[in-house]
Amino acid sequence: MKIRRFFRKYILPLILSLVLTSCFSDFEPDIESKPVLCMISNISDGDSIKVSLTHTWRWSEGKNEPWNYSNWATEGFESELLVKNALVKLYVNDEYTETLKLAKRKVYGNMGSDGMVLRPWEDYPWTTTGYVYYIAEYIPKCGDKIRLEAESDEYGSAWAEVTVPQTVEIDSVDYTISNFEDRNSTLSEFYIFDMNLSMWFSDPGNETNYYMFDTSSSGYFKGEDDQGIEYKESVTFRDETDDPLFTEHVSAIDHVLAETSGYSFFSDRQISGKSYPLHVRLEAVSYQIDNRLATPDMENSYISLILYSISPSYYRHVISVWAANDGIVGSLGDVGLAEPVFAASNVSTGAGVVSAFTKYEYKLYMRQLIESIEKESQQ
Amino acid sequence: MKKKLLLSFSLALMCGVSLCAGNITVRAVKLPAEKVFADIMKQSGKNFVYSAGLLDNMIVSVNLKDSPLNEALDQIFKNTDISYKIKGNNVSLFRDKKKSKPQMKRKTVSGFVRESGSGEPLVGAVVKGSGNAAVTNVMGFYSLSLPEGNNSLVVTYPGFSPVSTEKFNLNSNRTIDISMDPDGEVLDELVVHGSKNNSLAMESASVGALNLNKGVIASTPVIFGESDVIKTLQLEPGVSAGVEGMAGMYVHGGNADENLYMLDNIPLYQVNHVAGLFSAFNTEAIRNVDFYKSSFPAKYDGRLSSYMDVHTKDGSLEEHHGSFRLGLTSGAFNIDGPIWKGHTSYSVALRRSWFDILTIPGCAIYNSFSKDEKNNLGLAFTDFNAKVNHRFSDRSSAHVMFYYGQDYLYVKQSYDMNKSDDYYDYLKNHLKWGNIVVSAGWNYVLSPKLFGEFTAAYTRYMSKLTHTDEDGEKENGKITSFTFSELSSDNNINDWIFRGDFEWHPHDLHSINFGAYYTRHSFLPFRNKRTIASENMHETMTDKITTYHANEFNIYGSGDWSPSNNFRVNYGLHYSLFNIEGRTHQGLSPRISLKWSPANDWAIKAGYSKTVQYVHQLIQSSISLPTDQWIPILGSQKPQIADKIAAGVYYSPETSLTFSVEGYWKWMNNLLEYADEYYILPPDIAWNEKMAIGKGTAKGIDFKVSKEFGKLSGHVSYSLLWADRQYPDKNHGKKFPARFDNRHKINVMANWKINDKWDMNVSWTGMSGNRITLPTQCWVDPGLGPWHYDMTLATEVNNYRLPFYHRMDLSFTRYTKGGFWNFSLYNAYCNMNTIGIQRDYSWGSADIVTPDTMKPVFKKIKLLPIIPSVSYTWIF
Repeated sequence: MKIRRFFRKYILPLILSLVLTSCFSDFEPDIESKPVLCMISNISDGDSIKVSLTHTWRWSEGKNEPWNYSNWATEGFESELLVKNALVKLYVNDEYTETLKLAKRKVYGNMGSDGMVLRPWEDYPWTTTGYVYYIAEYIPKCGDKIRLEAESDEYGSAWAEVTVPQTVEIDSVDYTISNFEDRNSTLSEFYIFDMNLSMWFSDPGNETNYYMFDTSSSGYFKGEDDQGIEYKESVTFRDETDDPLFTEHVSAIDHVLAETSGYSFFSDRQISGKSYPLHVRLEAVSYQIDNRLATPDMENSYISLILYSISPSYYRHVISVWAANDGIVGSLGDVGLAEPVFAASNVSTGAGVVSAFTKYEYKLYMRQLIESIEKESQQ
Repeated sequence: MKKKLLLSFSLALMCGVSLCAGNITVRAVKLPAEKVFADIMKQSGKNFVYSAGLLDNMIVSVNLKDSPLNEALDQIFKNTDISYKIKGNNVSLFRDKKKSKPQMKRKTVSGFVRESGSGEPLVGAVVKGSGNAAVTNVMGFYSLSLPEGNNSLVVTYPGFSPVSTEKFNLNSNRTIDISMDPDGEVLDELVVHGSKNNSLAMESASVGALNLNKGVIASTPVIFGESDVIKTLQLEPGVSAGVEGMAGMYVHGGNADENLYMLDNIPLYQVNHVAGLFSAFNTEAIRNVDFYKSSFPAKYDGRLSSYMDVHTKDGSLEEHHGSFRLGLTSGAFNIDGPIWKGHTSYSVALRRSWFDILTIPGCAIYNSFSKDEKNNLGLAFTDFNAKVNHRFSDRSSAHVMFYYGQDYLYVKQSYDMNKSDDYYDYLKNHLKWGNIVVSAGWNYVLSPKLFGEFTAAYTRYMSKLTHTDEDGEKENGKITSFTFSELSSDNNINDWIFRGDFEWHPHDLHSINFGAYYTRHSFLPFRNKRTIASENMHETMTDKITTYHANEFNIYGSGDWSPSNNFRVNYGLHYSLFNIEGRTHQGLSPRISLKWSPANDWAIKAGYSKTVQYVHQLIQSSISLPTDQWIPILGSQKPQIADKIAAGVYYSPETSLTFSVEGYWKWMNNLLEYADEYYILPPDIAWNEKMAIGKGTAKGIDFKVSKEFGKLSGHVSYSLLWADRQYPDKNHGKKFPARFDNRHKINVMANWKINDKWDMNVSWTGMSGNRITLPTQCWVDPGLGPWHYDMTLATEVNNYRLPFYHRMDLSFTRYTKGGFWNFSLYNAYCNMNTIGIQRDYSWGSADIVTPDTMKPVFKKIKLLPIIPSVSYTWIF
């Protein structure tokens, strides 16, 4: 929320600039440090296990800076952080399953050296750059205990373990519409409105569960109806969801001094074993069809509410990154007034995260939604 | 026995006429013997050789005109056990056993030493009688055993004219109350006899004890010119200041929560303001401060590292006084005087910061730029001290004391699009934290040898943080939909304290202190209450944290015994019981310290102290935050324990000058600190799940040379320290250096009284930098969240030492008719010291990314530049 940033954006820098009328000087600390293996894998049920294996680097070496990737689109480019000569083994439910194979993938993306951020884009030529990873043939299932072990001659060994969480379903979704505007013209349909939704789900309560909430839309769709009339549909919105569960990791003082928005990770600590309505707010939801003559398919355009069940290692990592970058202790640690906050890792070397997730998606189809709004307004 | 040779050739030359004549003229009425002999030396031209201390306490009354030297000496030493021998130009003085009188019966003289006019007790005044001396306690009480017959007392106290009583015939125990006048004209050589710190160093058995009076605290230059007792103590050897500019105190490698701060014998939990920038002790309300860092009196227990007892002013019994100070950061007002002349006095001191007065117009200017968005911010701290003292009789007095200290921070933001839209968002944050103390005490001289003090007190520490956020939509001014959330966090401690302390002087060589106290604690660790509401639901979740009640009982006894002139022992035992949640912990804290004086101007001491701590503070940073909660040990946790041995050598060639070397070794067990990755756990989870339990050691040596009086006074000190910690759940169980393991530390503090109108103070500190944890290795972002940062690889704790720290502070005081100006310069030569290391880019921002213009670097963060400040204090 933009006004919440006021303190962090204006007052805190003002105070810091008054108190820390600091001057800075560059230097290289006289501390020896050795690179270690960094293992990253985000495992989900029904998808093959991919492991990114890199090594750590000294901050001032700048090995992960963007200019190192300026030629990423060049055929055959690889990050110098990649560790390609390692032996990576997979154990499932405490049993050795296989040794992972090295693979290279055609990707497009503004990716880091790990290549885990994939943003495939239509019409863009794919290249065989960057994304070098280890892949397993085994397809994991919910409840599988996955153990990965890696060994490199140069950087030593690393291991990590994770259990693929069970999917938690969205039971139902209630919503209210406000500021509904029908801006239809003779040629096209255009609706814009705000939505408050209550997304009900039930926490299993058997053990500590961790979640992540996300929304997405079908975006842009181009097609033709049964009668061959061409049309384009699009759905956009602004997600302003700010459920109190999203700030359970935020202390009262962090509410004052820290940035608290933008995080949608939470645990079942407050709702264990209960049914809970997550408060979702979507603003400026717009739905547009460029051709009123067409009869689009009911399921082309939609808004997705996604509930991810995530592993403890996933949750611990994101919370620690929040604490490091936005929490008050992390901010103080950054200027030497507190112990630094480190990104949490479940890998034995302290570098990397082996995490797992499953997801449940609930779709609100736009045409159904518009029809029900119009019906209600007629009543 | 070391002899002291007094040469007076120059004086002899000046007195040539008397020398030729061979006779002297002396006229003295109740003057100290040393002063009379200075005059005789001047006239006779003889060198006088005698043991140091031989003439101490000797008062001379003599009237001779043009008499031979031997006649004068006969008259002076009549009725004493001192003889003389004249050989050539030297006159030897010595104690003559033949002249010594047979053992006489002894009687007790007791009473109070007070400032004349105000009636304020003078703590640490030295009362000397025939061959015996006593130091007044916190109430100004003394008790002295003297031989029967004619006696007189000489009382000295820094900054006051020495007082000699009339000769009195002591044939039964008697009470003599003494009033002393402050006097700037006092001769330094007389004043120095009254130095309590010299007395603590040379006469007491304790190691590492210090007494500070208001004058010393007020004259120490500090940041923003805001005099501060804790910042004064930071200049002592063995005391680390923590982060620059803050009122932190880390004594002999200990932690910040291991110091017991007391206000008139009552513990305070919140001891600073504005994240630690100022301490909670208003100098205007302070009479004096006792500080112990090595060997602790048995009276004190409950913290591992140090004890600081702040004694507040009682107020004048005769006339009203006051002052008003206006400084850059705060203003202070204090007034004291009689309610009932000679019987009842009051003292009130108020201090308040100005910060919120600056933020209000700042926010108004900011808000004027936006119609829809309004922001308000306020920050302030307040201290209020009040005390009423009533004297029932010479033997009985009582007081009621009240202290209130609070910090306050609020941030309010409202975003109301009513004019252009229908969306609104109201955000309020309110933080309030502080301490209240109410105490009542009664002092009674039960007998000339027994003094008692009874106290009942209530202290309350509170920290309340509230965050509310409401957003929603309005239609025609009516709320159609909304979400409301509130988070409030409360942390309280309520203590009821009842105590009785006694001082007994059964024998002139032996004094005993004993007492007991009971404390009923109620701890409410941070309890969070979360409320979530919308148009169709309302839920409130309160943490299942309840108030923990604890009963603490302490009993102590200690003795101070001087079996001979050159040997002294102070021994004691403190026993404590701490009962919480059905578990009872106990602590037995023996204390012993010994002093041996191989010569009058030398003292060698050694001591052992054990301390037990049942409550501790969870500290997240090097600055003080309202979330740094105090909590008791609970469940399987054990009390923190420290064993400390200390030894010292002291040399005082003259009473204003003291050289000391003190060494110590401390072992600490059951220490509590946040475990690795505690920040991942939700803020409202039980604190004991976030803690690591471990141990630590600290060892070091403190050197100090101090000159307490004269035109130029001050001290120079050097301390050497090693301090480490080890926790199974931290740093992979490996030992690591403590954060404030400042290996070398040098302090210079000087006060120069330039003339009647100007004083100058200078302090210089140089020390090895603090330890910090500096991660050097990075790993790639796994892409699990809405950010893209390089991650830092956890490294060993406190693996890097910051560069050497040094700073000089200056202050000038200009006395005017109605008060005084204070001009000060913090960090006078503007050496900006490094307080931390940051990983950043060479051009300070990662937005522009080309290898030619930017590269990732480590940067030293340098903090405070030169800071001038000025204040004026109006005295009435």
